[in-house]
Amino acid sequence: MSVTLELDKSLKVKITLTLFSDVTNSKELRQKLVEGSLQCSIIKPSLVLDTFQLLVAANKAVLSQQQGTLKTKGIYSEILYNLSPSKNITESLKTFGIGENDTSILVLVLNDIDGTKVNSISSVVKGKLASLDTLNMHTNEQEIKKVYKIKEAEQNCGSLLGSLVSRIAVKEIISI
Amino acid sequence: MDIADNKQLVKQGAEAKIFKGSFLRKPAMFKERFRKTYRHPILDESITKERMKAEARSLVRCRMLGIHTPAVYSIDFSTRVIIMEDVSEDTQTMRMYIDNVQNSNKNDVLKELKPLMERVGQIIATLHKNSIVHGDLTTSNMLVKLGRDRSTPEVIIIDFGLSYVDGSAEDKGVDLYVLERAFLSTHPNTEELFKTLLQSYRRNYGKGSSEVLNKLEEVRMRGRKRTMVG
Ligand SMILES: Nc1ncnc2c1ncn2[C@@H]1O[C@H](COP(=O)(O)OP(=O)(O)OP(=O)(O)O)[C@@H](O)[C@H]1O
Ligand SMILES: [Mg+2]
Repeated sequence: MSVTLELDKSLKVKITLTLFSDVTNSKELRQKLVEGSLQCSIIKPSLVLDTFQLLVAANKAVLSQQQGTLKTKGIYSEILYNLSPSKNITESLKTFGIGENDTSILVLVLNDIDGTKVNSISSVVKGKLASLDTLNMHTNEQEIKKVYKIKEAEQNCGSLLGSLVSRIAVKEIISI
Repeated sequence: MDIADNKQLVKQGAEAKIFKGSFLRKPAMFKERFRKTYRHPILDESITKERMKAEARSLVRCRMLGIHTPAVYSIDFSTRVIIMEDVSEDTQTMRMYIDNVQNSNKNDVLKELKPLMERVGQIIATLHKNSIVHGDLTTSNMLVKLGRDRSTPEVIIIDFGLSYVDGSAEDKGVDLYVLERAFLSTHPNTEELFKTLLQSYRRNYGKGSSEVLNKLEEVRMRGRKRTMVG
């Protein structure tokens, strides 16, 4: 059910995405992330329009890691931070990361060569594995436009996805 | 980023090379600024970084204002590369578009190009009202998207490498002057057409447009004087 995608060739990193629905233990998962016993980014699927958005955020995070310029504690929090248009780290993680009452979650891991990372995470998630093809059923475009501050004028020029990834790419050199 | 890998050189400019390729499986354009050996390396690095920031910022700011620009995918100061959306599908540079219309047998070129000129005037007015100066307005830095609906031409603005914010009325006047010179020298007999553009600019800019257009006139006079002396 998981989908593995390659980041930019020069980085030599792959990401694996796994979608879960009907999750009942988000509070516990959140706790494990805070303790550091779960190594992954858990993302709110409602704020994801397309996997390209995740690829751009992850690619940027890995680039920062390799250049020694991470802004957060680790690569997985950096990906969540990058997804957000805000420069406030706490707020970004709260907006894009798992919430206590979330029932669908998107798990992102890096370089899961033999599938052991996803397996061990799956074993603690109480919920149903879902196909990544159903991601759009969880997407909330209204919410996305609100979080990324996309006004009427912008919606007439180019795609919404283009607007999201542009904000991700330029977030530290622009204020919105 | 290994630029040469699977990429095709589209243009070798004075400041940068443009490659076409793909980024995370999407068609993309890579703009790589090269080192200027006549500059001190540290100075060169900081100039490049500032230009890259200005370019990426303006691309995104314009988009927010409803001006179509390529989406930005990545900025990497270490390799001096901005990766952006490839918008070349169904597009033509404005320069080619105007050439084609002028060379076609259409008897009313002015009428044919009028909506396009009005749109460009409106776009520049929006830029300027928001204090953005493009810095290199030419008909090669504008792309025309040939949509299904021919009545509303979609214009995409590119190449914000020389752009900056907080432009004065004089800066804006110069921005228009650069376009006027480029326009009239590339496309013969387009004085009337360019007037349409300026009228649209005035209308859309509203308050404050006279100040800019007066500056344009001043800059024109200086230009003329220079050619008379030179
Ligand atoms: N995002 C893009 N999508 C499609 N085509 C593009 C894009 N960016 C640039 N091009 C093409 O490449 C050409 C050169 O790009 P650009 O103007 O950004 O570079 P430049 O080196 O500054 O060129 P110049 O010296 O002519 O101003 C454009 O005229 C256009 O045809
Ligand atoms: Mg150009």
